[in-house]
Amino acid sequence: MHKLLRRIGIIILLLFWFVPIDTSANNLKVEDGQSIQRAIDQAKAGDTLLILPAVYKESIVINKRINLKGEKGAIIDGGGIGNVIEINASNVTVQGLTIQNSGSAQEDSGILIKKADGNRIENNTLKDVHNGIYIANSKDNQVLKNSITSYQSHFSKRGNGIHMFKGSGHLLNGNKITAVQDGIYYDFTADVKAIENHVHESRYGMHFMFSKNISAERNRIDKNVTGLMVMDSADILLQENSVTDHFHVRGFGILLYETENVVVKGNEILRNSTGLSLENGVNLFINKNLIAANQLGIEFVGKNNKNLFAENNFIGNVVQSRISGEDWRLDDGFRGNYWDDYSSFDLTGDGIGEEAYKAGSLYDRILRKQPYWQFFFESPSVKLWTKAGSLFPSFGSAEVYDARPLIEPAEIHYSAVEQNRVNWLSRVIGIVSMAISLFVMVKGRKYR
Amino acid sequence: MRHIAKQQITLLMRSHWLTGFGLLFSSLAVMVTFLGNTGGSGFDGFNRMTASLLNINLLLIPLLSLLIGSLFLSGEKEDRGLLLLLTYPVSPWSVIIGKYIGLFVAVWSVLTFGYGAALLVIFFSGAGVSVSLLFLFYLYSLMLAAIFLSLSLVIGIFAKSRFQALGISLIIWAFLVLFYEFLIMGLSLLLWKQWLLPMLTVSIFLNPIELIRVQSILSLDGATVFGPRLYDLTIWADGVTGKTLFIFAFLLWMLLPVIFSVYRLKRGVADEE
Repeated sequence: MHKLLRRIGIIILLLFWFVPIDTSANNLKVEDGQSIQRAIDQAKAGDTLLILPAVYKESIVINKRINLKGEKGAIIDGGGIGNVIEINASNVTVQGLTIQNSGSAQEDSGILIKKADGNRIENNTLKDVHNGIYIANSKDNQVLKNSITSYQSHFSKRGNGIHMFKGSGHLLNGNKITAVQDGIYYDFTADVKAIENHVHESRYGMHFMFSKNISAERNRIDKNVTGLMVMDSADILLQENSVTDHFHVRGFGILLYETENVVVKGNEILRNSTGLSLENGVNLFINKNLIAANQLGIEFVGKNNKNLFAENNFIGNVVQSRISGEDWRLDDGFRGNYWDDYSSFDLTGDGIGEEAYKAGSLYDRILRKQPYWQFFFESPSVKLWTKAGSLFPSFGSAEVYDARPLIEPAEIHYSAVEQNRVNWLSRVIGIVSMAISLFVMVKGRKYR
Repeated sequence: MRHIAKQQITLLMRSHWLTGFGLLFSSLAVMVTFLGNTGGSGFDGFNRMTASLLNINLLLIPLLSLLIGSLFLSGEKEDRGLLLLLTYPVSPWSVIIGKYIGLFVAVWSVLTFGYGAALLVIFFSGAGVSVSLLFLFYLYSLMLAAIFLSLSLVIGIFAKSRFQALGISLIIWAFLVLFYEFLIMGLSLLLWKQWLLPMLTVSIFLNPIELIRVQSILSLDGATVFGPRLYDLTIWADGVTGKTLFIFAFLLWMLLPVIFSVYRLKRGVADEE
């Protein structure tokens, strides 16, 4: 924010500096039947073009610093060839436009930003485009509050919502991306912040490849094949995202593959085939996540080095964890995680169970052989069976365990207001229902 | 009919059976909600606490309903009270339905008390179990009770003595709650893969306990609990057809035994004289 203010300050200063020369920084209007491109060609740097509602069938190249402002109903239709808008200049803004029908080649996009810095793309609607916004070799661009969808097709034939190739310093905030290939693709890029975006019904929510220093916060990623796919990247912060409903047989909530220095904190990972999968990671810090209702809560593959894994809540995952590597601790030495199938007690009152939590029950192993038996998940007879199984300690073959399991779920964040209201309601209903039943009981004792 | 129902309620309330079961159920419900709450975690779908609560329902309510209904009815038969009642000018319909209503009100009061106690404990322990979830379970518990009370009438009519009624109730209970699932699991090992899904689907409707169990899991969180292999089944069962079939099956399970015991009573009266 500070940086931004300074930048704006500099721009204003520059404006003042140029005032005598730049008196002609005009507001121009483009109407139905006119060409936006011609208006751009005639405009001077610094001009604002107001696009009135109409369908403009043309592709546009912006090669000077102008502001393109669409009124509601202003549509630019690329006619299915190439890019709809190509930006080659810096400090351009594109606002309030509907941008549709790009070509379908690899890099064809609704908006292509190429070797241009400090542009702002805000409040646009992009639809039927191959890629939504493609930013190549550029710096410090801002993509805010746009809504992006690709065309009706299998995701392998679509492009990405926001694709960043090389370059750095971009900010993506509040975008809504639906039905593309990968929602946000970080391709050899660095220093990007993605905040409060919503990606759904695509292949991957976010796809990190060979990227560095990316932070993704408070994004909502749901109903894709895989939520967050992080590969061969480093210095990644994933915080307070909600990653839900990835049911695909090979779908993951968050997959970290050969990645270094990752912080995964405060995320909600619900209802995925596999919640969190870690493969050959180095220096991972996984803390205070809610991992619930997944088919498989957490999976470790290969060798994961120097990791801290603590204070996560594992609730109602059918299989809480599957571990096929070595060198992994499920606790940080002081505090472990909360596992809702843990059944021992805290005798010393420090909030930590006295017995270690062992991953993998008898049922987990049965399930691997008989996947259909999941139909009986936690049913009375299966419960009886696993309880009987757990009485024979020789069956418990798991070597990986949480030595400091938490007795109560770690506090992550929840709204206190709602909690209060529900509790009030529960007291009232509880008292009323008890009173009624007592009345019936007492009254019923006397016949007439 | 009203008098028969009232008399039934009075008899039940005065007996120690119901009080005992009521206390057991309430204390278990309270313990499960108190010990197993995952309130602070911010997740309120199907988890192991709700599973435990569900299992208490699935284990205790059928047992309670079967025992109370069948023991009272067979006891009355043994003591000739039922015969006396039938010498009055009342139809077997009003006898059976009156008794059914009486039984249901008694069990309802126990369940309401138990759930009320659990809710209060939630309030005082400051846990965040959602009220709508408990309400859902309450509803399903009542459905379970309705089904098994109606089954218990059949047992009570058939059994010659209290002990026979006790035995039959326990066997039926154990079969439905425990052995049925093992049987289905065993069958699933023998059958072809493509037959598994239809078989599981049918198995839901043949056992009222499965019916309630599956339906309550579905209404809590839906798709994930049964896993990717059963995704088709889940979608089908959670859809309109599945819901309609569920209600239809519930009504059948509740009404058929009642009708059957009325039919039986009409003939049974003739037999015993």
